[in-house]
Amino acid sequence: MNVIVGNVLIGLGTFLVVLGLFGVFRFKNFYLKLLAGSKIDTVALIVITAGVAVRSGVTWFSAKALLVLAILLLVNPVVSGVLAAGKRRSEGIPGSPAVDRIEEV
Amino acid sequence: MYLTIISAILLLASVASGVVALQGRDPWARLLGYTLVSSKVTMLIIVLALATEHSFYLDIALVYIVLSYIGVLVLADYMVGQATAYAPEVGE
Repeated sequence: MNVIVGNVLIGLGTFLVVLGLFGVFRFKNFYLKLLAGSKIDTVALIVITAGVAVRSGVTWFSAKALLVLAILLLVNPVVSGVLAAGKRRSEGIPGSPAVDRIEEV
Repeated sequence: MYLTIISAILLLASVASGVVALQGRDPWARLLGYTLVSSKVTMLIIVLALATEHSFYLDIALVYIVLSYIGVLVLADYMVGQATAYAPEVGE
């Protein structure tokens, strides 16, 4: 049972990776590429790591996989935010990157 | 067999992300491609850790995540500094 659920989760994560790549190649704007790539990648990493943890059962291996998952949940959104804010700031758009004015993008 | 197919798909996906990094028109698009490649390689290492049942591969994945994080942060800081060094003041 563990093996079946883990395999389904890992396959779902790989499917999400392929979907995210499709989005990255289809969009031309940088911010849309960042949206497709980073969001889908975060979800796929979560699903694949959870699948690995489920498939190996209650062991030290799955504990380590969950540690990797915790670090990923901290790191991946920060990287996306740094990319978006840095691109925006290097274009010379004034103001805080946290302000959401959609017509500027 | 199943994990071999998954690993092959992830390897192809990382190569395609490398194409994104090579085709980028400005440094930010290339940096986005680098983050895509590093996340795909991380997934590949995690799946390989399961396939070979070596738990130290997960340590390598952990170190790789942190290194790519630091690399992206440093490169983004440097590129913002390069872009805004000689630009006129735009004000708040």
